[in-house]
Amino acid sequence: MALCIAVRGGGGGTATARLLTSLRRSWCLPAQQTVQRFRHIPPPLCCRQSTTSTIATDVNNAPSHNSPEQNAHHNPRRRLSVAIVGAGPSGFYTAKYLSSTVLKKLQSTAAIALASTSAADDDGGAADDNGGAVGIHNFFNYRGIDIDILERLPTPYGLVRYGVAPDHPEVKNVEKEFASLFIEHGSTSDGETTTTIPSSSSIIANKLIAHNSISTLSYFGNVDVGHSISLSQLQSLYDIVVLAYGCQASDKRLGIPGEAELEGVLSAREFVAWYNGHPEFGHIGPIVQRCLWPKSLSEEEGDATDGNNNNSSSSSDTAISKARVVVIGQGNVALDVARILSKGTSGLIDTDTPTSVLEILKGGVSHVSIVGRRGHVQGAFTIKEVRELTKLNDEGYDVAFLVRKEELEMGMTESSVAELKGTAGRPKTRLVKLLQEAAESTDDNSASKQVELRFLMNPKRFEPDDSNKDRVGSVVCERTKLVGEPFHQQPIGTNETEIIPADLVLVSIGYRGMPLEGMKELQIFDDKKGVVKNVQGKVTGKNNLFVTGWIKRGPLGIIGTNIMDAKETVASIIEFIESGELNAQQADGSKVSLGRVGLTELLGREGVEFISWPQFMKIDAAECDRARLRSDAQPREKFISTGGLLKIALQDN
Amino acid sequence: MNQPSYKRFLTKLFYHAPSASSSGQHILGLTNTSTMNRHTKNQRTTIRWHGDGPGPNAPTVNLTFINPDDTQTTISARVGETLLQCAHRTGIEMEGACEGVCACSTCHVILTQELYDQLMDETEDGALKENEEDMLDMAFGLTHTSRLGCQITVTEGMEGSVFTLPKATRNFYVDGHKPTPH
Repeated sequence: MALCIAVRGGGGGTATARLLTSLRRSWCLPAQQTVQRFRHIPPPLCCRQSTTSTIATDVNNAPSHNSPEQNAHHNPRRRLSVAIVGAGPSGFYTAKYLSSTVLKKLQSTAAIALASTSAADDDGGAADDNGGAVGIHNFFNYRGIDIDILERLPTPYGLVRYGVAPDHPEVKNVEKEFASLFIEHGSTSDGETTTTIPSSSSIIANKLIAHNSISTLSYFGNVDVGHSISLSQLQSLYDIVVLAYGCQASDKRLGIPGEAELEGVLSAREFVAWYNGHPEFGHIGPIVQRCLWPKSLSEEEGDATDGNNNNSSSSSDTAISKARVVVIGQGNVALDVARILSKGTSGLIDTDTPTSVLEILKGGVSHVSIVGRRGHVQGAFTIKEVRELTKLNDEGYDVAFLVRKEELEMGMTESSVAELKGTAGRPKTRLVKLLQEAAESTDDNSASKQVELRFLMNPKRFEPDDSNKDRVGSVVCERTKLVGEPFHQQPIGTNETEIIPADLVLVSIGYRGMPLEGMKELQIFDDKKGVVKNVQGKVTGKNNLFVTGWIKRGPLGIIGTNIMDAKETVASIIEFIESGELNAQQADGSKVSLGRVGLTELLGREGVEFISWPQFMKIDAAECDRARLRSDAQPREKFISTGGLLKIALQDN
Repeated sequence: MNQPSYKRFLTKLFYHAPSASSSGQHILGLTNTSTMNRHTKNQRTTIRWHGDGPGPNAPTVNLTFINPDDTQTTISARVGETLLQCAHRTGIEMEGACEGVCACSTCHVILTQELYDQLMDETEDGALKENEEDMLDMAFGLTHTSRLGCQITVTEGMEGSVFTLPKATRNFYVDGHKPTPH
């Protein structure tokens, strides 16, 4: 026992020893068993990153617990294997809550063992025979949980990395929390001063169970479910498969003339992915370049760059594009792209915006109009993002924010007023007040750039540019008016037309979830809603599939929304296990969940070069290497090609 | 809810001057810029940010959290730390996605009316900071006495206070919640 503890070393070891002794006493576990339970104490923290989360360690560990050749029912203390498809916020939150819920379940195992003084000494474990509820008893079949997160891209974090605007670094802080899941739960021990016994003992138990590798987490980047491995293969390798792959494969479309044919009509999804350095959207750069810096416009600036950025004089870095950009849609994504375009290099230099993007954005764009069919009360944006636009000029970005008073008045129908009433109208009421203030204070017209919010304008078609028939030149809009009951108002055309010049159009009216390869056959995808059919996160039908995040509820909500969502899905997973459903599905004996070992073998056979967490850490470190950065303030310079990412990750050092 | 405090709640919501609380010292919470700089600069260290609070020798008060599953946990909070730091230090299930810089709403916590009023009285102008209000607007299950844990500093006057963590209901999409678009 002392030997085990010495591994952890230092003061922490002493503390652990004390906890261990008290815990062994309280759980009535014999010393021998305690030793056995702690045989897999992880190495000290300093080397954990490079060892515990590696596949090698996991693979070595897993079979000894798992005995894949044994049928699940004859090995009542096996580990639960879970695959999560997608390493974005919903996937990570699900991993976090699933493992913490399992830890709690195992704690209650211990509690029941404590309550019953007839603790067993044998291999069966202390609590197998003491199950209170039937559900709990089912759960006792598992002695731990192994979660594997599979990601199509080499890098994790999904839209936190490739969607959140680069000038919102504080929102990206959540990456650190996600990364910490790979280190360990409760790894910081700082001498608790908790006073009440129940809470402190639960913390102790929590930490010890975590240290005992009850829960492990692995990352498989560059694994495209549906191509690298089929969904059905995944389902047979794992006890539980959670779909968390989001809605980034497709967009909602306006369906108006010119949308598909004309160059310069992009979806905001593509544009956002490009300015965030997404490896699959590098091709957007040249299109943006041609739209923002067409020959005719850049000649006015005195230097024709001809789509090729070979001039590196400082004056051109701050050149303001005279292009007019129209953003269609009024959610926070629309405001993000407008803000990024307006700020330009001066506002983005200290962010993780790739240098290649800044070379195209330069000093920003002089005119951005954000157009919506409905009124300001119905806008989908939130106040924080609107407030940022109102402050751009004060913060020195030389951008005026414009709102038209008459459009606010037109939008204030009786029904709109009713929509602001009550507690539920609180956020909207504050937002409307902010917009009204902005409309009143459009006094400063000296700024060289402007962002304008336009309401009650319905885009009808895109017209080509006069000098280039293949490129967009304007958006023809029809003025609308709101008709209908509160929360059901519709924008009705008034036959009044306004033509807004546009050198670049970004359509930002929402994303569309797409099925994975192989889902059609299972009939689990709702094509109309673009989500996987589910009841509280359990995919409908007899299967071991669950779903969480945008592909469960549709592409709405902030990062935090995924917390409640993940909790719901986790509750459904627990219910699936405790109700005996999982056992029932596996009862025919045809299925053996090989989990992580099986996945590793399969990917090896198929020649899929997957990225492990330590390998991603190499990418992370390389991107933050000071030699790569523009300045001390820039947090990272991303690698923007899949090849570049893989090269860093897979190179030997 | 008694009438005067509800009135103040409405006043706070709808009529406070937007920039009044953004300057000068604020009794609640940390000033944002200083915290943000500290954290963004330390982005790549493995030391978690919530270790920065007052040390173990700080005076303590007992706080009780009502967990989402209705169980109660009483912990010993250090005077001077934020409620979020305290929760993370003691294992209370409170998220802090932005790491305590008031840029998300995941440390949403519900106060008792008494404590809420008490904290409001201690503010400079009877109003929360603008960015806390903005973030609360996005919080799940917002109430009249909602606050963000990262913006509340533990004081000696809080001895015995009770904080409720918002409940995650099963089927939370069919019981009236509309997710805020982003």
